[in-house]
Amino acid sequence: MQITFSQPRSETQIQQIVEALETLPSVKVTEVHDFVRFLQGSYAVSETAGAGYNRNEQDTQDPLAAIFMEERPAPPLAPAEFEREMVAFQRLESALEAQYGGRVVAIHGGEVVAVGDDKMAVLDTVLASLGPVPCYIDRVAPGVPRRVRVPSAWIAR
Amino acid sequence: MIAYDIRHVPPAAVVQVMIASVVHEHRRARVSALLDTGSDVTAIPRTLVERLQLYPISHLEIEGLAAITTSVFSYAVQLSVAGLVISRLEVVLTGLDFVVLGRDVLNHLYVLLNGPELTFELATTAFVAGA
Repeated sequence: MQITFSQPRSETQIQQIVEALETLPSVKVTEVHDFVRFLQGSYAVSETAGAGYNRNEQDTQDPLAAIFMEERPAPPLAPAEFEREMVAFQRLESALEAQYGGRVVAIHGGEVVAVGDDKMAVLDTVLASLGPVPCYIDRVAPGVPRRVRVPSAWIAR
Repeated sequence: MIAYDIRHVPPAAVVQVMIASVVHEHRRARVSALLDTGSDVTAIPRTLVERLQLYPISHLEIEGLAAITTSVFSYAVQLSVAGLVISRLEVVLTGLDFVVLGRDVLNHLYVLLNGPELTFELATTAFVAGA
């Protein structure tokens, strides 16, 4: 895998990520890869590599190759505050499972601020108690996030 | 009866919907929406995020036609269609310029498709036979 970087800062960060990955068991590397794929989907980078990254065919077979991709210049659709709450949810997941297993929680400021049985009801609780603050809302359960199907196809004309 | 939209080929059942922010309800947009009984979830044009100042609240895994799963952020909006108002609806974004109205909305409505005549009906109450 050959990689070039446009910014030395990125190279340092990515090198640190790679070194950290090498200390993890393979199952954790898979989790990291899943998260990278999530970020790719969120930022729509999966089809276009960053300018400083040269991909080759072998890279497309390499599950770690995606980690080296840099963000596109397009503005993110999610504010950083939201992403922090989402990461907090993932970090707290095992602890949340013990207390809120099967229920929906809202995370704000890295803490649970509302609990319920329905995402939209929990959102209402947050809006009523805290106003429009950045929060991440999801069910504490295996198989989260929920998988939905949108199998329709449209012919491009 | 509403005529199918012949800009879709083949013609399709398209209805006007109102999408509004759940925080600032005066931020709203009227958009065409394709009735899509194959979709589990409703999708709104990506351009509405900035226009209505929407913020993500969660995320979902979407499985498309190619059976490839993609993680996407989800948003909460208010959606109004054919007299039905859903005050909180979790939606995803699409690059299309119309709403894709999934079964999360359609299952609240009565839908009668008359394919041969390219018309359809959409209502919140049951249709009366012979009417």
